[in-house]
Amino acid sequence: MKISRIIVAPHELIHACRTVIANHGRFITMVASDECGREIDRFVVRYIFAHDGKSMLNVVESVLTESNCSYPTLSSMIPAASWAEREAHDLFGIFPEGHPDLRPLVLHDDWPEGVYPLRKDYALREKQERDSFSSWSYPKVEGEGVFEVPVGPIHAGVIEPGHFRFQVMGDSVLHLEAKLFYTHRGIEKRSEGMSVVKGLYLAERICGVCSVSHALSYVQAIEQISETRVPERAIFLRVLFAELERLYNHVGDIGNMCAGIGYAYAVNHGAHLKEQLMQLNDFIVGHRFLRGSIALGGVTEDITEEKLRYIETTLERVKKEFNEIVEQILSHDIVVNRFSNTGILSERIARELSTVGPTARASNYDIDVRRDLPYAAYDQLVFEVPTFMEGDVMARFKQRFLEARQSFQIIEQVINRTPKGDIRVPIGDLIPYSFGIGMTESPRGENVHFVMVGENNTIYRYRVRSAPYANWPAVPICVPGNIIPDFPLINKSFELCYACCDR
Amino acid sequence: MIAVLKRLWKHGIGTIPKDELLHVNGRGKLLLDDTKCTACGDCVLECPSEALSLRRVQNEFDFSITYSSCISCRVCTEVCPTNAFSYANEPMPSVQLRDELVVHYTINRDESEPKGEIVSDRDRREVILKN
Ligand code: SF4
Ligand code: SF4
Repeated sequence: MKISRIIVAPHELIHACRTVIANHGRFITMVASDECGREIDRFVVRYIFAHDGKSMLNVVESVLTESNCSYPTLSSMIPAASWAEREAHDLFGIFPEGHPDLRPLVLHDDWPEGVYPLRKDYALREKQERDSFSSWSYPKVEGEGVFEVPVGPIHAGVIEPGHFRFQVMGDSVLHLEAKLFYTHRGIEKRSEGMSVVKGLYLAERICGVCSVSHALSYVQAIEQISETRVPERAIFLRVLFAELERLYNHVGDIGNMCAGIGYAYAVNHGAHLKEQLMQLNDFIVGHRFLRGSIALGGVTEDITEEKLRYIETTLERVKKEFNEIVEQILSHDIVVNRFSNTGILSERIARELSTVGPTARASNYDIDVRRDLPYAAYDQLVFEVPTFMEGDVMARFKQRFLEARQSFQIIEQVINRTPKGDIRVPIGDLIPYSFGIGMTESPRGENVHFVMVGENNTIYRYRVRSAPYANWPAVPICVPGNIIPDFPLINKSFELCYACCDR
Repeated sequence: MIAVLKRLWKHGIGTIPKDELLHVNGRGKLLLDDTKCTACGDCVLECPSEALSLRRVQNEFDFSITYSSCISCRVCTEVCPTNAFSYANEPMPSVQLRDELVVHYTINRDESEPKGEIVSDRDRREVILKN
């Protein structure tokens, strides 16, 4: 992937970004960094845009001085940039002028003011006194007959923490406000100064169920910096691992979505299939979540011919049962009734918020990194990207089903076409202070890692924009107009992870 | 309806037959090839879960792996300059007492130049680099 950089003064940012967008650049994310260690005064903001189909990225950069660390906001032009700018405001103390909503995002209200943990002069393990009396301010709907229902952050099931406030009139939701980032673990801070070898293992643990995708994004960024050419066999095996990950996620999600309407039969049979796929993962690389399969410069484990055949027979069986279950789910009246026209995400909002993955594709926003900015061996494989117009829960359900069927096909091709040869090469030299951007399509959508290396093969700045980070802002928009009992269903249909959004 | 009943008859409410369960338990047990190890200490410093330790005992080194702490993450395997680690194709051992889950290797390298005595103190969870 080619990266072309455009360096401008802060007041020219808007103009530069507008030009890139006019040239069909798709906004991906904004990365802020504190680069005082390398004699730059002091912060750098980088807006990243992708040119789909051309395998090219545009990075619009600007340096902000310590004395005047404000820059004009892009959120009014690109609503998707809003979260990234708020995050940079929380963690670096740089100020997007004119931003419509600068409430704390990542650090919550009890964090002391004027303390910015991602600045280089903030020590890794420094503790802060929290102000437990601070309160959360958020927009509300008020009036006669309007009630507020708080949910979370601790939920009844074994899920991750997130806090939701519903303003309801009877059963209908008028407004939903979500508060996330309860699982902010400071992974980006922790990685600074870590060796790039160990960084891979941190990247794998950002998310529980997208380990391969995170690891792959990370190694691609490092390989881009070091200009490493990964052997042919390794890139096919990478596709194999990435698709096995997509499969167990999609198969599990299909069942799990039915938990939103209490259809236990489908939930259990989905889990039954997912379990078989995870045991297959364990058998081929020794880890149910496929951790430790991707290495810098290739893959760690060769897949023998015997294992390939085993994958083939297992998938054959799973595929048959999967079709059978989905057919049964979709022939159930209540499922059709509850799934259709629920939680509609319109195409316009999907585009404006730069949503990604099955969420975007179910709203007729046709993007897929595997096809648009191909990585690993995807450009040598044949597959389709299913899209739907409706944008409701049903569309997201069917999209996942068709996408999983494509994954079966991709794996079949990989099994028959993987060439012989090396599985790993040593990576080349890393020039200090150069950066790379790795992008992969995780089961939840586009996963972007920005890695800047420092001296002695260490990480200098690491920014992760996972797929849920792009999709979460769309969830509260879809819920108003639906009834409260539909919220779990809508939430499950997006199937967003909290941990890799919060990092 | 008939299809559902047929499926339930065949699979129950979602059970996997006993003989199809768990082929192997994870990556397997971590092994050290003590003829390759030079007692450099890199793995001890990088292990995220303090499962390794290296102590000088007169002219030799005592290298230990604590299986109850190891999470099979592969970090040690990746950082070791001499490729001394491998994974046995057998499950992690399980015993009653935690201390039984430690294996010791004696490393005797005349030509090695260790970075000092590295003690991984499991209770205090920190690595002390001496000298
Ligand atoms: S596999 Fe990971 S946890 Fe286990 S000893 Fe090696 S570095 Fe430590
Ligand atoms: S990194 Fe390798 S050579 Fe060094 S102490 Fe560990 S096992 Fe021995």
